[in-house]
Amino acid sequence: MTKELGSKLANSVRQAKAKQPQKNTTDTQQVSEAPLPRAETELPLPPLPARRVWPD
Amino acid sequence: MLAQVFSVANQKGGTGKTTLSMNLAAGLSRRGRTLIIDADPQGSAGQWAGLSTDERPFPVSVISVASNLAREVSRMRQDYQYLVIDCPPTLETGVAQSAMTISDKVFIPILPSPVDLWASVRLADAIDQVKTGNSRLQAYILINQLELRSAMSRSMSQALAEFDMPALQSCLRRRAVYRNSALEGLSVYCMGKRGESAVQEVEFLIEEILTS
Repeated sequence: MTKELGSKLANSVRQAKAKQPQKNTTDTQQVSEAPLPRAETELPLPPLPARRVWPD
Repeated sequence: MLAQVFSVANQKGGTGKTTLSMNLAAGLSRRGRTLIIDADPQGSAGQWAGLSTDERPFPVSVISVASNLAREVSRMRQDYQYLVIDCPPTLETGVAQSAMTISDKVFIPILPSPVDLWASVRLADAIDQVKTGNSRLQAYILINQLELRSAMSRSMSQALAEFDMPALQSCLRRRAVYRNSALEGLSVYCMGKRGESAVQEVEFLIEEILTS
């Protein structure tokens, strides 16, 4: 029972992975011109300073 | 010595990011100076600690960082041994990615459910992308709210093998004391006998994290 369920779960994860957009497979030249990874493109938020919320 | 930076991330809500962050930080604070960085605009970490009383304060300070996370964290690294970043439940703003860019380890709490597993596939891709800029980042899945009697919970290991990142041996069980501790603004460490089993699993988790 557990094994069967495990297989179903594993299968569903494989399907979810298959539905993901293809990873960038461009060559080196194209990569250098590609947009920066998301980590470096944090959307601008209002310039609020870090603030201690607890203890205040 | 610079602080070790741990992020807790998952773009899906309700997986226990804040619960993990708060209890992880409480446990780490017994080992060294620790700070919680609330990077989630919902502000749940601050709200949690804010419910504690002067007589029984939450053992770790919480700061809210709404922008320039990398700069703030690099400034704080000097003063603490451990920084725990509670990430927002989204990848759309780039905040979670920024947190991972400056972290040593990221923990992804996943509930034992198919929907949680599917949602985490996208996060795994985002982590791969972050690793191109932060090669020291180690990512781990953590099963949260495990129910030993549930077949779904027991089947998780087979599904987790499909991910390209390891799952921690430790897991957190589904326990009322985690929810009750939030309501009292405390960690499970302050819940007396009711929290003993939870403390034991958090301690096991921390030992695994610090030695992995």
